Amino acid sequence: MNKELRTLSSRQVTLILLGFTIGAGVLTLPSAAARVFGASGWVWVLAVGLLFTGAAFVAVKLAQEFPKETIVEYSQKLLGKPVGILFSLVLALFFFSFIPIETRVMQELVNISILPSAPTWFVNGLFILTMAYGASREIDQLALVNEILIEIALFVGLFVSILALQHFKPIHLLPFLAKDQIQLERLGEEIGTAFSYAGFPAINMILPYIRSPQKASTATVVGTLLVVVVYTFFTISVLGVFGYYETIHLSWPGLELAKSVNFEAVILERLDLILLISWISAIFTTGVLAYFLAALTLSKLFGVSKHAVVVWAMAPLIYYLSASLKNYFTWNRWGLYISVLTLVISFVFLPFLYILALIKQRRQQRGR
Amino acid sequence: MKNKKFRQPSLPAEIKKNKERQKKEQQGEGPFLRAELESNVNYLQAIIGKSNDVIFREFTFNLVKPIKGVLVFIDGLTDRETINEYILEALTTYQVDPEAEWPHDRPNLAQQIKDYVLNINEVSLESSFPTIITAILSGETAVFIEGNDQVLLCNTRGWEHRGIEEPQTEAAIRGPKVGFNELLRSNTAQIRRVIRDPGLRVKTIKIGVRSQTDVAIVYLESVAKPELVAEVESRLQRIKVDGILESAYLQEFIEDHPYSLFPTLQTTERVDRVVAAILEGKVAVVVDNTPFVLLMPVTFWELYYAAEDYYHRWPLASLLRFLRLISFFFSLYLPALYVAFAVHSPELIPFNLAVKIAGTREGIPFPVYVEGLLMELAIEILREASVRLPGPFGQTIGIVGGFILGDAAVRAGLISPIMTIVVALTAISSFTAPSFAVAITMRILRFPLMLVAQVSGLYGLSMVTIILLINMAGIRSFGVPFLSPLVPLKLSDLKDFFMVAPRWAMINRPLAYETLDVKREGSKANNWWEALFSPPTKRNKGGEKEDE
Repeated sequence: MNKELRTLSSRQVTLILLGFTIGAGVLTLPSAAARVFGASGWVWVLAVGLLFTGAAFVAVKLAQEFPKETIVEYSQKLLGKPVGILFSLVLALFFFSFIPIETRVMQELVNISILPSAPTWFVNGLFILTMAYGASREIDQLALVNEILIEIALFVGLFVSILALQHFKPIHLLPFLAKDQIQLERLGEEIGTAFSYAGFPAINMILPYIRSPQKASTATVVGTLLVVVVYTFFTISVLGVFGYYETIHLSWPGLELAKSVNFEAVILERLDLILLISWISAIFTTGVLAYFLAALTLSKLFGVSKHAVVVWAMAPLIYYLSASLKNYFTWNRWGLYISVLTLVISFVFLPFLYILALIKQRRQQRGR
Repeated sequence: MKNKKFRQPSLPAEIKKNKERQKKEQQGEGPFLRAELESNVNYLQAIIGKSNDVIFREFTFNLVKPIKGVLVFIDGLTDRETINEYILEALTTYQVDPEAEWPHDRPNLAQQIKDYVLNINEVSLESSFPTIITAILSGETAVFIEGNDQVLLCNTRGWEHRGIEEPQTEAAIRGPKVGFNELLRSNTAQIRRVIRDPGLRVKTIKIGVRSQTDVAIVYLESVAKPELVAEVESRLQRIKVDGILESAYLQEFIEDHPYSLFPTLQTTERVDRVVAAILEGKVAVVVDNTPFVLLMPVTFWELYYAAEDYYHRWPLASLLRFLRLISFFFSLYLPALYVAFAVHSPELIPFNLAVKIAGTREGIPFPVYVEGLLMELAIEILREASVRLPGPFGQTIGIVGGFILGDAAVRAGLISPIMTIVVALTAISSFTAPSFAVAITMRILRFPLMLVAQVSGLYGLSMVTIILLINMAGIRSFGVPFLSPLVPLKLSDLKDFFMVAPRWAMINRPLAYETLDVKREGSKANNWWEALFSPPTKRNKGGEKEDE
């Protein structure tokens, strides 16, 4: 009936963070972890995850200082107008950069498993159109879709992982933190996986839409921690089933995990199909939320009243970019750029803004 | 100049009355009656008197001296016996007490007759012509009395109607076998017969400029959300049409998403269903001349609930609910999934099955999609034909047509037997939907889904499913999200979703409706899963201990 602005419950916020964070990255995360940390790769996944949880906490604290505004508005207050606008542009770029890579990964998955000979324009085009249709809706509608899709994805992912545990050999996880397996010098190459964690800046955009902003910090931290738990569990499963040496050479450890499951007497021959469908929804939620957030950031920045206009305007660009990511190496490099952007935003920009906000607050208190 | 008359000075009360009348006439409620009988009757005759079924009965009755009167009513809409015995006979044979003073009060005689003479249960005084005409057209009898500017409207409604029968479209094995009929009053009375709560409100408004159809909004005042009731009423008030023949007319005007494929209102002709909905805090809209009642708000899943779900014990009810949700999935996806697997991903189904499918498709001249489309089309045509044909023929056509067509098509090698199985299963599944409206939606969606499956296999299907989900997530029925309680998840509402919890464990009314009174009467537990641990037998014992 009457349209309210604050419609998201804290449960939905947690799920939005889950849906936005868990996407294409998790499919490759275990092999990257294995490359750097060997059999104890899960420790690396867990440690980085906890580090990002800390950053998420800072981000939500910053957002709660301005419960009625998005980061586009308060960054201009804190940094001054020109720098603030520049910052918002960087943030929009950050959200935007997810979309082509998710599209590209989707195309790869579809081509290797469901439709081997489908042309790129068709797969990408359909995916981008679906995402644009979703992103042009309002946040409350999107939250509902995200809720249902990410629950399906997590449930199916968990189901497959648990079934795969029949091949789990604890010996594969040993030796624990062996020195000869840890190759920190490869960290630079594998930094591209950092973007698997970078979902929490979303909270700085959606806080004005949350029903009770004071509960947002719990929701954010819980969301980020859940992501870390999912990643760690998944990495442990993959490492335990395949062993670290094999994991390094797997390009899609998640699909391999599903293929390893013998699950007979069911109408489906291959279990990876179910996992794939669940993963389509996980990638979709990441893509559509990134799309929505990028459009929201830009429309707030340029004062466009309907973000749907920005959404449809961006579609051709996304199509062009996703088509230009021709092979694994190009999109890996793209992932690297996003990761650097992620690291800079999460550990430099947002904490810096938070400190500025605190200083400003203290000054105001003194002024009184 | 000799005819010139001086106007008699008016009494102050009369001046006041005239002013009020002028004011009302300006507001559009007039014209009003005058004190002269002849002019009133002439006016009425000019407006409705040209039809033969409008009866003007002149008569004279004797109070102190003879007074002229005219009865106006419509033949067929009124109960003749009531008019003869309680109006005509009462007036003409009334023995006036010679000492009584009231018969001498000529200007207010109508009021006095209402008080002393007529023994009809519902009589009102009216002076505005439009109201009087509407009343006459809806079956009341107007009594005009000479020298009075008010008319007596007596409720003499009575016409031929269908009795209360078992609802044909929503049959149930267990449960009351009564449905609504075409009489508004009888319908609201049936609801009130079940709910004897003083808070049950029946608000009647007239809709339709020409049909002036009575529409009743029925709700429980202490339970239903006031904003919801106000919204329903304001949406109904806004309707401007010629006539309302069926509640579907209203439905199209008041639903939230007029272009959506999904119905956002529920229609039913079962009394128990309406009563259950009102008890849950919904609003029912009962329309005259149709047995179909509108219920709002509604969620998507509720369209798949049958009234019977609540009359069986919970294990069976849960199983039935689950079966129905599976058949919903079948009726939407089964042909599309078959096409997707057969065309694009035969490697995903077990080897033996894939070989079987390929074997039966040997020599079929059509692509899978066309094959499926032809069969679906045949089924739809059969269905439509069996509805249109008179009773016994309809069934024959269904059986003969289905058997012969299917068998012949397979034997002729035009259609593969597996496709016949798929299509038949889909058709049967779609019959399980208790709501006809939602079954139609699935029938419409099935065809584009098959096309998508042919073109792009499982990938296209999942994309279209996501688009459907986005669309459905945006639908709200009077403020209630269409997909709730699944999303946004309301744990308390899940008691009545995939499973049906025992009745004593259904503590709360559905939270999605934001009712005033959340808790149903009768339990101390906070949540249905808490209540599950204390079945009623145990609970009573616990209560006794507390009292000690």
